[in-house]
Amino acid sequence: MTQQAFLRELQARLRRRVPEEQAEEIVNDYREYFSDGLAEGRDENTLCEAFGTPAEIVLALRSEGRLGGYERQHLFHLIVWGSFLLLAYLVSFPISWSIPETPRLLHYGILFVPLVQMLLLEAGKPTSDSRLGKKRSAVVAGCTIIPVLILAGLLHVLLRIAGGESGWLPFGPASLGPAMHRLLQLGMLIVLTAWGLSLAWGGRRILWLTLLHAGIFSVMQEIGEMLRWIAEPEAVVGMILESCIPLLVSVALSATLGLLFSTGKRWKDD
Amino acid sequence: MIDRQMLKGVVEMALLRIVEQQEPYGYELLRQMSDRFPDLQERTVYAVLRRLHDNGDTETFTKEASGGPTRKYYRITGKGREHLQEMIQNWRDLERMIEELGI
Repeated sequence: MTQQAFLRELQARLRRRVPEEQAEEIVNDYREYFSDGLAEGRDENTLCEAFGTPAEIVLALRSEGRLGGYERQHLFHLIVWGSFLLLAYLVSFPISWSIPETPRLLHYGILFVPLVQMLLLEAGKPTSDSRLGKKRSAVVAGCTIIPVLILAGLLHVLLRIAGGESGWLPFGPASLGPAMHRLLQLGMLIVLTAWGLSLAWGGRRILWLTLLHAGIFSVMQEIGEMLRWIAEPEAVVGMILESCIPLLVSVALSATLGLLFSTGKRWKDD
Repeated sequence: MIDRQMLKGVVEMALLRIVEQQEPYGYELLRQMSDRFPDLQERTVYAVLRRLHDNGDTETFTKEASGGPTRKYYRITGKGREHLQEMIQNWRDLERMIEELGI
């Protein structure tokens, strides 16, 4: 392994596991060790062997308790993120149910809420001072409920104005007809999945989970709609099948995946 | 090969001692440790060093070597000195206990 590849991998493995400034310090330390080692006449390969692989270095740091606090903080983020996401859904449903013809449009809007939320959480990323980080991330996560409410309210008003009594819309998926509607949803699903995978490749796990969540939600909605077709379309049961089950299943799936990815499990793969 | 678990407790003491006596730069410290303890992995030394450093037992300063690059050097702090004394005391006590067993 070359020095460059080594340092790059070390950086990638430290990302999201230690605060940025600490990760930078560790990488700089190893950069210095490389230059000192090379000056001493050892070659890159010998040095890499002596240092151990980046994965082993991260494990050693972890066993010395250098990473634990940050991981717990990460889990805390995930829990905060998950609960507000759930709250956002719960807020959106009574509103969408009050406009029978167009609940779907609101769901599309809600799909992007976790993304906004995650971007805000990224902004409130923990620093080396864990208490400050926690406090800040809780405030940031708390604030994200505001865009959710604004979005829901705005859509509500917009739909009333545009649709009048009938709930008819001059724009949006509902006016495009069933085939077009389905195509749009499928396209969105593909884009979301592709985007999610590319982000996973880049190691941005939480963002990836958010997008995966959106993808799962879309699939579940499709399944929900099929179930609704089987049941009576007008019945309350149909509405529950369409809305609540996909919601619960997607939240449960995302929570499970989130827990799997955020606990120590991944360390064993390293 | 010395048992890793047995080695671990000693590493911290040896590392602080070297830092106290020589005020080395990082690479020098890693090399010295692996010369003295051939079974010890460099990454373990580095991880222990970081822990000691984060606990405030050591501090760093930068110095330009004559004609060489600017490097990060380590030196012991007051807290580190106390920690080292405590570890040495523990070591002596342990040594005495083991000797009493006739080992």
